[in-house]
Amino acid sequence: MPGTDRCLKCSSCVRACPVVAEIGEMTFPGPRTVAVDAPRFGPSRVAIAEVAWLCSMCERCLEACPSRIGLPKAMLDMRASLFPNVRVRPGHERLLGNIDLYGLSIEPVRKVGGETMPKAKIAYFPGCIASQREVETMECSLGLLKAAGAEVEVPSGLVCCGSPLVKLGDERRCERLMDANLKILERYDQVVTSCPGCTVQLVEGYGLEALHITEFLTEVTGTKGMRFRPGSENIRLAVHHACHLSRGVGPHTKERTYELLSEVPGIELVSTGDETVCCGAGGSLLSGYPDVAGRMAARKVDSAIFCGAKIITAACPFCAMNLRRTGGIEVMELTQLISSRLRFPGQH
Amino acid sequence: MRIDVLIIGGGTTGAGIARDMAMRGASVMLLEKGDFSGGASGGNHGLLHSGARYVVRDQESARECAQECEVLRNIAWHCIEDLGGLFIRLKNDDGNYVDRFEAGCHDSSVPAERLTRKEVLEFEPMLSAQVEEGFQVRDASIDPFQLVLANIQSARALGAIVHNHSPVIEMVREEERIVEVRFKDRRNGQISTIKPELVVNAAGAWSDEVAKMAGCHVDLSKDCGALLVMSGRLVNTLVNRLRPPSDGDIVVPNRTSMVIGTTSRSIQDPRSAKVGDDDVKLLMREAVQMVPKLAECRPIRAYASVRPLVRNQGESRRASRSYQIYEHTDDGLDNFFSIVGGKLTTYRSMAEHLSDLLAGELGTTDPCRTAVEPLVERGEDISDLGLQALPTLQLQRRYGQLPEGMRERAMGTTSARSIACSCEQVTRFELDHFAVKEDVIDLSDLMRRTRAGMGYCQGTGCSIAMLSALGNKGGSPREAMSRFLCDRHRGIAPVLQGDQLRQEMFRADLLKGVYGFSIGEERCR
Ligand SMILES: Cc1cc2nc3c(=O)[nH]c(=O)nc-3n(C[C@H](O)[C@H](O)[C@H](O)COP(=O)(O)OP(=O)(O)OC[C@H]3O[C@@H](n4cnc5c(N)ncnc54)[C@H](O)[C@@H]3O)c2cc1C
Ligand code: SF4
Ligand code: SF4
Repeated sequence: MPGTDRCLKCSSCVRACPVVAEIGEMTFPGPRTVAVDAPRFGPSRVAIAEVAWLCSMCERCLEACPSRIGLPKAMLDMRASLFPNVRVRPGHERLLGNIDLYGLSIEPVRKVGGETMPKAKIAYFPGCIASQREVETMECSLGLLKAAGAEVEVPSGLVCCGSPLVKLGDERRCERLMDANLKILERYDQVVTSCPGCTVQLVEGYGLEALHITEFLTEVTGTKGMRFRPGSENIRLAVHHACHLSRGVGPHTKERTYELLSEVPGIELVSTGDETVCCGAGGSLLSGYPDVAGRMAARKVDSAIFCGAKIITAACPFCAMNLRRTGGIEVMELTQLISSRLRFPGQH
Repeated sequence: MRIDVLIIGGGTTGAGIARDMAMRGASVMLLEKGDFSGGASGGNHGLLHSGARYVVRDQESARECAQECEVLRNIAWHCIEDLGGLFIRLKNDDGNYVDRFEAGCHDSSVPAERLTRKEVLEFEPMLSAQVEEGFQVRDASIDPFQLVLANIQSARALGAIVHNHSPVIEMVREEERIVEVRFKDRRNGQISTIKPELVVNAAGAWSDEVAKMAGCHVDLSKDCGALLVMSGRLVNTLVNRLRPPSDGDIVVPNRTSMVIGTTSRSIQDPRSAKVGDDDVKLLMREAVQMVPKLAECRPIRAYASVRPLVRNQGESRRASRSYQIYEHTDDGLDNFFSIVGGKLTTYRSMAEHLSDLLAGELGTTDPCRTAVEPLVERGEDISDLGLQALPTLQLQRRYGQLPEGMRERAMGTTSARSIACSCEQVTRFELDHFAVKEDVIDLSDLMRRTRAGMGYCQGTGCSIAMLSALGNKGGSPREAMSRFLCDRHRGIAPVLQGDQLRQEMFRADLLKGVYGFSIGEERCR
């Protein structure tokens, strides 16, 4: 157990939880009950299965806990122990079906990746969403990487990184995917990703040298190679910091995001005050409880609109997809936004 | 008002007799000086004995436990968690005891299945690698508070008059009869007199004091046992050491914690029962031999209670080696009975035994029905309350069936269904329900009925909710809170280290800083 014995019952975690804030403790009792209280009930802890998948794994509770209890990890442990005996949500069932059929968490509509033998030293790992749904993210990311002077390629044969399965608690399936990916990715010195969920999984789960693209573009290549279109019209932009980036990969990624945005001409940042609040996509919440994820996204979009933003950006294709579902505002994934202002948008 | 039987003492024994006699049609009154289960009944392990613990030393008790644990599984189903037990022999424990144990189980009809080391560890992976072999038995854990309350509820439903917070203070004897018994109602200070036909002394470790009021003698020595509560569950089976019963050889997972017991120290006055530093060390030292990970586990609190040991066995009518019934004829009394000792597990058969005598005196011929009629009926559906699954399950575990009127409380407002104590998953409506009952005058009374405040945070989260449910009932809210906090603190003090020290500092700081309640130790003494 990740230190759950240290709980003081201060409720900081419950107050910090965006899901509790959205749907209330009577529906989701919050991280303390799932991670700390429920396991103490012995065999009857299984009753927590009813609500154990209602968390978006945003890690706000981890940040809030004065005892530094690994609440998200403890909740994942709980999910993993319940998973074999639980009837999964319909959305999760579809996800698992896709994994079994295609090796991807969503149904593929196109084939991705050309390289069977590595030519470059750096692999771009697009992940399920950027390769199949938010395809522009993949294309823009590759474009920016090339513009910045990096030699990258997309290997063929990649499957889902397994992050959604970790979140579901399905360890068995996850291992199969990891084996498949590892065989390919091992041959590269460096992996770059667009989806922070993949970054965390590749670093922590696989032990690979993986960087999120915001890190790579600022820490490795720099942005000198990118040429921007002068005289672009101003846009009022709200930023959404993806949880798995700003808390999962690390808080430095917030700076990296602003560093990149500061290169782009015509950007007028709008401060919403809730930049680091979860949009509801993660932790299998979007697939399991799309209604809850939608309400959380709508709240973020509302506050962006209220603050006068015209566009909202996130350095995560998954967040971008969830925010876009609300339809209230234009949503651009970060690399997409940056690319739209390049002098030669067709650089890629 | 005619009272056939007056029972003094609201522990398992007294409550069991009240139910039994009420079922036989007698008019019954029970008086308890504090709250129900305030004595040994609320201060034990909560171990429903399969009998295995006694098979070598006391086969009569073993047989009795083996029978009664099955009876209770049926009648007290709601407050039993049927986890099963293990007796484990560690490397340096005497191997000869194993054969005597096995033979004892056989002779006293206590079911026990021999397990290899591998089987034991498969069953309970958290046990020490030093384990050599073991037996699987039919131990279970039981919630003694709910057991007593269910007996009282059942007795009341049959017309029994039951008062807590009402100590018996005096008895008037005329010749060979107790003619008057006086008690004081602590709620209003009023002293009342009743004239019962028969008087039963079921005052546990206080039964010598009560006997003295009647001008007779029960010669007790008192033995104080300490127990330690550890947070969470490392094991989900009751773990016993396979050796002659001694200190620190039991680990009982119950509700959200594990209870380690027990020690033995002779004391004079049951009011001085107390956990010593040595007790805590001894319990830990012994228990970690069985479950090494306990060393890293967080102790929540410690408590002590008193076993009454009968000294003058000669003159007692030996019902069983484990308990005694006195008819006090030697003392020249013919309507006064004392029942002392025994176990929680055998409370029902003890009550039956004494009730048979009482029924004889009253000329009642109705047979005992307590072994066959469940305390609480099964099968109530409470899914319509709209609670989450975990609190729903705990609600059923606590009451079996919602006490009368609780459903209405639950349905009253949405906030009534919020969780007031997350450690034990207690809802606000449970607090509200009991807070208005005449039995409840204090936060501790609310706690014993609902379990709010018993978890690892010891009231950090729920005490304010308890106080707000109670309102002005306990006198000044500040005083009521202070009493409760001191009572909790007494249990925490012996284990004040590590996480529980942080907890206690946070609790003190929160309750003082935000609400102005202090738990200063001076006040607790
Ligand atoms: C440390 C320890 C551990 C134990 N563990 C277990 C176990 O795991 N399993 C098991 O089966 N048994 C166990 N036992 C035994 C069991 O707890 C007792 O046998 C049982 O609870 C006795 O119940 P009782 O009603 O006789 O006594 P008590 O519960 O002590 O009840 C006596 C009541 O009389 C009241 N009283 C006293 N004086 C007066 C008065 N003047 N007026 C009104 N009321 C009065 C007291 O307040 C008290 O509530 C344990 C005992 C001890 C001490
Ligand atoms: S990880 Fe986020 S959503 Fe999940 S319990 Fe913690 S704060 Fe709530
Ligand atoms: S924030 Fe940490 S210490 Fe506070 S209640 Fe939550 S888990 Fe417990």
